[in-house]
Amino acid sequence: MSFSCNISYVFSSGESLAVDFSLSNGDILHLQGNNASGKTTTFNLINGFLTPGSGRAVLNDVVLFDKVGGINIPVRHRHIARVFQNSYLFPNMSVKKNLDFANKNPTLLENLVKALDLTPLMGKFPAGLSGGQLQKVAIVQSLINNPQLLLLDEAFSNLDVSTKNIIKAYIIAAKIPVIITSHNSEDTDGFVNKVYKIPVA
Amino acid sequence: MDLSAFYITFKVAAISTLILLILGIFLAWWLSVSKSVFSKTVEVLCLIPLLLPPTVLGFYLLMVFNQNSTIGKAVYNIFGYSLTFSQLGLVIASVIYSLPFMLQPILNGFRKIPASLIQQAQILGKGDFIILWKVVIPNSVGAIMGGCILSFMHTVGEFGVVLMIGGNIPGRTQMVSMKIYEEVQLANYNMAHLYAVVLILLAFVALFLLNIINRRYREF
Repeated sequence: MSFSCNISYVFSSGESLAVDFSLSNGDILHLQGNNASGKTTTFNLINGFLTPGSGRAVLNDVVLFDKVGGINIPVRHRHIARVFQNSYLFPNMSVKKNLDFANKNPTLLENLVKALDLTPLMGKFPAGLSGGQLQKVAIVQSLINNPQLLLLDEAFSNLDVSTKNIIKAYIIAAKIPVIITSHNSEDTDGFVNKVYKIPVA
Repeated sequence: MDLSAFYITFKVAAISTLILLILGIFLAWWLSVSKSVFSKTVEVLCLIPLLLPPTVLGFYLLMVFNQNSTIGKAVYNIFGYSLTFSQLGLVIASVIYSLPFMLQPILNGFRKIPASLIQQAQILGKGDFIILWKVVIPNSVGAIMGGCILSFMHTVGEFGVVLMIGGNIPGRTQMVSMKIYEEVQLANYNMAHLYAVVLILLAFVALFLLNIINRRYREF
């Protein structure tokens, strides 16, 4: 699996953002940048929630976006998972139903439920979970959806060290390209193998 | 006490609320996701009955529905139903003038759902209908129930439009609000009180339910 991205975007304020990087099978890239440098915008561009002004993005030989070719694949067909700092589980569904809603990999789900001790949470609703529990379930929800690219937007911020290590091991085993943003070196040290700093426009 | 007026009132209100529920959900979903000028125009058009005098709406509906008009004539020739002085006409008129009472609460409910929830469902590969059915509607139950109660009660209490379209025919198109007017005209104040008290009790129950719904269902 591989992902290449060479895109640019102009904000309504007139400031511009340009990123250019590529990832191959199992690469984990640390996307770095100061506050308001465009990390979340980069994720929104990759996800398809924003349309780049120019450039091209390709995931596993599938062109997600190509300005010249007029290609812009809809969000739901991109197979790109994303976990936010503030995790968004569906409040009307229990943890079990949240996971079933995304489940394309029952074996992985079973393994993750055991490894992360999620069984006691399965009947609970998101409103009854702590920040760490929400984040844990959101990461599992993303992984069992069989993504071809995983975006982690400060996704480990509420997790304890042992949970982080378990999740990191599963992410590495998935052998998919991963992009992570984090201001905490504990989240990235020994986990990422590439670093890309967003250039100042 | 003439129970047929109650029967016709609740029948018309129930059928039009059911139609409005389906129409309101799909219309609100489209209006909540669309950013086009056309959708904004449609939204304003749907809300017009809120500010129009019912007689104005009733007058134009009568112009459009009567058997000499193109629409009225076509419906009569094809289906054999008259749109004026019939319960079918009452239902159609009710759907038009109660639309904002269903649409507005549902639209507000849909717009309160965080964009991030919809985005998460899209990221998981879900299509628009699944997102509407599994995410948007279940997280707007209070708003939808509120819309149903408001539009039902608005239809029960309407006078001007139903008088012009229905024509106040006893046993056929006479609704409770018109029955009260008729009893007052005949100076039967005791009967008018009886019908009015039932509507007052109904309004109390409806508002009580709305209060419970607002407390029971969380909002974003």
